Parts: sequence; C-alpha cells; structure tokens
Amino acid sequence: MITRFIRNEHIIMNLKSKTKEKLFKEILDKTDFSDEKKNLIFCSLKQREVLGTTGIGKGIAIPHSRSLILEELKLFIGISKKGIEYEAMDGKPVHIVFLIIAPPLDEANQYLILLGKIAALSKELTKNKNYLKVGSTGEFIEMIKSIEENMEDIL
Amino acid sequence: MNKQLALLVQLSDLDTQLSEMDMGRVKLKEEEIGFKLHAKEKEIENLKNDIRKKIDPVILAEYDKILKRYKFRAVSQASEDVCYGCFTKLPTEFISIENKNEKIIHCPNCRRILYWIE
Repeated sequence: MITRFIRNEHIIMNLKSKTKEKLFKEILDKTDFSDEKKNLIFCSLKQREVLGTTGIGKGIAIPHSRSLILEELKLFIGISKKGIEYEAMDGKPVHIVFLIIAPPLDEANQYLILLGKIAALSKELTKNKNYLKVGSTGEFIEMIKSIEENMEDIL
Repeated sequence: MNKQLALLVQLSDLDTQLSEMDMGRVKLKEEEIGFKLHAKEKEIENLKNDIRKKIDPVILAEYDKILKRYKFRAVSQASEDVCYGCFTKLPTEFISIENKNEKIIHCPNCRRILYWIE
C-alpha cells in the first residue's frame, strides 16, 4: 500500500533543515503548490504539532494533517543523516520523516490506514538504520518495497 | 485567494483535526501508533483564537453557525459543480463565476462556505 503513494520526486535523500519548521518548508518547496497554498498546508502541519509532537522516537517523525487545499493524499519522505531537532518524544534528533497530507474527505479513509502502515514500516526501517546508507531514491523505494512485502499485516 | 477565505480554511483545518481527535476510532489509532496528544485546553484555545481574531465577526458568526449545525466541515471543498459538503450539484451559474476563491460563496443547499479545488 505504501509504495502506491511514493513518488520518486517526493523523496529528499539529504535534508538540509535542522529544525522542524524549516523541514516542513523544505518539503513543501518540493511541491508545485502556490506560495499561498504552501503556507496554508504549513499552518495545518504546525497546528498538528501543537496538539502533540509527531516525532514518535527512535529518529522517526510522521508529521500529518488534513487540509482543504489538497485534492488527494500526498506522501513525502525525507532523510537526514545529521538529524533534525524535532522535539520528539524521546528528545532525540529525527533522521527519517514521512510527511502525509490529505484532504478532509479521502477515499476509504486511506489517511488513517496509511498512517498505521507507515508507523509499522518506519519501526522496521530503524531496526538496522540501513536507510541512512542508501545512495539513491530508487534504492530507497526498493528497500521499502521489500520491507513492505515481508511485513506481516500487523494492523 | 480571498484573505478571509484563507483564514477560514486555516480555522476549518484546525477544527477538522480537533474533531477527528475527539472521535474514538481516530484517537485510538493515533495512540496505537504512538502519538501522544498532550495539548492543554488553553493551548488549543490560543491556537484557535489566533486565527479567529483575524476573521470578520459577521463571517465568523456564519462559520460558527454552520459548524454548530453540522459538527464538522463548515468550509467544504467544491469542484466545478458539486459541493463536497452535501454532495449536491451546484447551480450552473456558479460555473461562470471567475476566481471563485476570491469570494466567500455558500452552498445554496447546505450553506457551507465553499473552497474550490482546482
């Protein structure tokens, strides 16, 4: 299911941002939304962080929110070798980010299902941290595909 | 985009998040994944008020009235001819309106404020 939402151009292999807000901006800059729309999505993501951090620990962050701006669910992935100061639950820097944004109404509630699948996948990914050694987006997608195939349906 | 509409979108996105977190199934799923929602009542109130104070009081009163009636999605997405709030076909004259998101337009059926997705 996850690979269905992954787009090569929505993966950033070497995030430059060092803080959460800069990270959101860096990812949104990869989109072709107008600046006004980017700002509204940014606000929505920031609002979600006030309710509770999406840095779930072990270097993983899954920022997610719904916005009226979106026509369809979008998934962005970013990797930071140096780490991002994210105010994660364990206080440790974040190295892998899965950012999900979805419209208020989405087909078959994919948003919630994808959120669960990504949480399970990211826990698998961080077991050996091999994702930090991957050189290209293609290799990274293959890695996710293989983990997803081997992952039991734990949800 | 109309500045007031942009603020209404921002407020509606926040209200959607808050209402989802009140829903048992969503809350349970978020907690199961490991998200802890720790915001205090006051923080949520401040977050809302930061947006609400910038909205015209008449428009805000309309927004609140719609939200009270439907519980969620006071601002609804609309395509060329359908309101995604009530899934009713919009009048044909709406199609010819230029720069729809530059105006505050209500669905004639459910009264929700419309945001046109392009």
